[in-house]
Amino acid sequence: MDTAAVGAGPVPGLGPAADDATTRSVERFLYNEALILDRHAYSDWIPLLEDDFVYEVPVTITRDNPALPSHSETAFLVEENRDSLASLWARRLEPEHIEFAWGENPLLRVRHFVTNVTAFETAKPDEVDVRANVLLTVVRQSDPVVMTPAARADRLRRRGDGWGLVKRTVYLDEAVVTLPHLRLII
Amino acid sequence: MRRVDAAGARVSREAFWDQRQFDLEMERIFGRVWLFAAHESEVATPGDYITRRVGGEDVIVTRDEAGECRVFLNSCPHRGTQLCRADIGNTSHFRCSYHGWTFANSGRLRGVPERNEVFAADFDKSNFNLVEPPHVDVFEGLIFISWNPDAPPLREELADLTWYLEAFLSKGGSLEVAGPPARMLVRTNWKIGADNFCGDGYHLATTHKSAIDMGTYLGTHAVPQLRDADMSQMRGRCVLAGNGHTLRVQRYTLATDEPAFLGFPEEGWPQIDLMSGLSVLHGNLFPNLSFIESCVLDAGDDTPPTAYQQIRVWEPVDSMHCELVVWTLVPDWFTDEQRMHSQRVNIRMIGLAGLFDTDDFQNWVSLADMNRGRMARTGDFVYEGGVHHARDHDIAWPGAVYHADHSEVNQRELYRRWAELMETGERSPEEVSA
Repeated sequence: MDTAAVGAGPVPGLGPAADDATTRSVERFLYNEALILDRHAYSDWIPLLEDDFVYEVPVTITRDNPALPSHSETAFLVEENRDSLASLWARRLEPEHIEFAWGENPLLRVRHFVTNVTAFETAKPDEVDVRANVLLTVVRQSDPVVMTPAARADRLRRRGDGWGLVKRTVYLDEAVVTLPHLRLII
Repeated sequence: MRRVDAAGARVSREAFWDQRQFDLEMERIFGRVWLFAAHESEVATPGDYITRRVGGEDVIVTRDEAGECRVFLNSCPHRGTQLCRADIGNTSHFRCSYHGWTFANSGRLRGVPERNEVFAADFDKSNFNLVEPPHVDVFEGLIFISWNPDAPPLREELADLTWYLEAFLSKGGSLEVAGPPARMLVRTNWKIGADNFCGDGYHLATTHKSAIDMGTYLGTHAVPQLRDADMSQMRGRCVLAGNGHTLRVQRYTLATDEPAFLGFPEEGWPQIDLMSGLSVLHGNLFPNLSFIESCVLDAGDDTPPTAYQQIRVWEPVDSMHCELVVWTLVPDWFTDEQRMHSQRVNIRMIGLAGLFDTDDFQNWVSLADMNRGRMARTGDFVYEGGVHHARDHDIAWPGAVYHADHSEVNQRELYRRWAELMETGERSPEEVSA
């Protein structure tokens, strides 16, 4: 489908909108992923990552120049890859480590509300760029809910069984993080 | 009230959680001492500015056209409006959005719209320059301010900490920030963070068992120089550097006397005696600037063992909250790859998503939550650890150096200075009733 047909102009830095079947399949992938993340099921999530996967959350800043992005290009809150996520994040929740993973036990109750999913073609025929909004809700113990809105910029690669994640960059709206901690996949 | 007992080893819980004590701290601690405001590299070129809250005051830190670091209240001298609305930027002038008063980045009031119509002939612009703290000074790239006209010179206030800070901050060149700081609202009192970083080696084995079990820290596997290290003989020292500044230095006992600066290129080695074989160095510059340096042995991937340097501020919000502000520092001469590795291990271990902080937050927040009740607040926090530990007189380091890895001697020094300032100028109950 041509972007003009849905009334959307071209998005700077992105290719043309992907067709409906691709977009639908990307949405299905992201909803499935959200189910996994809401269950803290890293053992199901890590296999969704391509070997070269990178997860980044840049620092949010308020700038005086509206032409500049409101996220740092050099400073990050989170910078991980498939190996580090598997060995230092996922392993923490396994039975032999969870008892002393004080910040993650009791588990936070989290939900990912993923919306506004749009897929774009890239120069690589087997990869798409995806833009989505995420509202992450987090409840720790008996605390009130904390809600953190963010934009996701994902790169996905086609696999026989659907998609694999190549890169995820999460842009938080809040400049001062209010979550109990940020050791979460948003 | 009695804040700290005569032995200096018990601190009233109300000192942390009573909002009235917090209000007094704003005046007696943050109004009196030197406070860290920014790193020079955040305002590297003329016109660069950042805004942030420092000790409860919203300020602009900028480098003026003459190259001087300047600090101003971010509040128009006319009617108090926020002058600068961004966290970071570059400008030669600040213009108020309310009535258009315009200030040079030297702080001078330059433009007043309709000056002759609105104000009388004797209106003197020089009375309305931006408000500056009476003292601004820089040490090894750290910009400090003090609102106290009678504050001692910065170097005098830093006392014996200068020697340790030089080792931490000059690594074959200058350190610079990797970008704007990470910020998080933490539900705890600001002193809890300072107390943890000032020298609490005792909590490592429990709070950070998970990080240690995963091999990120304290191990002999990753670095050749550590292969024959005696892990039962960690060389820990707690240092009182004067005026409430303290640090803890933990070094490996290596098999040879050859200097070994772990995870850091040899050309940048500082203070061999202090830093060789370093496992971790962390401390707190009174009241609320903490610093830490360590070598990460395993960052979870093929990143080689790499050292990092970080500074952080526990900005007071109220008695139950602080804003944690974290700067990743890197040597300005690092290659892109060295910089990437250092920055990466830093944020993976210590920071908002870091393996260590994730577990620390749980303790710090629970301290605020579990001390809301009247009965809970009746007691003290106990800092009796290490009262029997001896001074190490054989060591050539400045300050009072204690032969101890796990001790509460540093916290006692933190609260000694804190209580001294809180009680200076305070009237006794007898004086109040008279």
